[in-house]
Amino acid sequence: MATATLTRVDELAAFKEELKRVDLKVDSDFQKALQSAQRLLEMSDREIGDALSVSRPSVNRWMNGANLPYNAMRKVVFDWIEKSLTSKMRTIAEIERSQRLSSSSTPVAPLSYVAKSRA
Amino acid sequence: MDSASDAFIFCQVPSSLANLAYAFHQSQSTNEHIWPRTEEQIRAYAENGELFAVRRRSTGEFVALCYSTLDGNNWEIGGLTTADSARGLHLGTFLVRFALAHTIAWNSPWDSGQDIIAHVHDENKKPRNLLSNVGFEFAKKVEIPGDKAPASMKRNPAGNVSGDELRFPQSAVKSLLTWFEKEYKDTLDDGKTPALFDILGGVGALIEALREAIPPSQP
Repeated sequence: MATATLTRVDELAAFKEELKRVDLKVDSDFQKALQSAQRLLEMSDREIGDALSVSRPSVNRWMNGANLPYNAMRKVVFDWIEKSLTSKMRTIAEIERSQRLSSSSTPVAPLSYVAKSRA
Repeated sequence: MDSASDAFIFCQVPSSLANLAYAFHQSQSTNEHIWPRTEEQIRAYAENGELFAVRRRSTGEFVALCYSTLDGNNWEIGGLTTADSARGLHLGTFLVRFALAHTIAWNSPWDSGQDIIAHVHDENKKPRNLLSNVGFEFAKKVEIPGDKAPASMKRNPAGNVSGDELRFPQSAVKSLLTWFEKEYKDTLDDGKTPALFDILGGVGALIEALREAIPPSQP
């Protein structure tokens, strides 16, 4: 379980680095980056739309290239993706930590309780 | 009510507030000049996030609403309604400017061969001035046969519903940009009541996007 979680964080971190090298002015690069972000962040068009304060159909049209935002807004989208990746990585790390904690403290009934029950 | 609590927020309505937005729409009396939208249409606009609203910052109450939706090859701005309690503040003009700028910035319509339009009934004078001030221009006359138009709408002597289709040309982006850049000072026209545009990246990003939208032939 821990290995799988670590891989996921690695994947998010790698994409975050990759994002810095994407030329957002290139339509296809912007589209690909957005599609990858959607997959990695596990968000629907509607959730992305609500997070960016745009309509769900607009997000869908960006994904298929029917409409695209101007560069100034693409920068806003990229900033949001970066923040969301950081937040997702933090959440996964938290889950991993709590899983480690819970697996290290196996719920075993205290001896005194066992003794009383037998009596 | 002090000025801080009287602030107005201009925003895109998230799908989570679809019910509230629809309730506001329902509470507004429709008139004979407006093409009434069905409950399904308004719900769909709201759930899709195609609605723009003005809300009181202090209470979250909706005081104005309009939509911007892509219908075929046209982005249509319509359904503008303002609560009676907020009339006279020119909220509608601010809201249409916001919806326009938002639509342009996030969708670059002209790059995809799309237009931005609005429809106004022949006898509906109020939105005519508003839309003209914002930069819309007459595009063509539109006449809907009486048997195809909603019963609530006023007919002309021939029994049809007639009005104008207005178009927001790309050449008008410059004046929209000038308004956001130079005239808008975080308040309504009274210079006191805070009017804040809620857009990711702030008004600065919106201004940059509008600058990109100005046609190359018009520096």
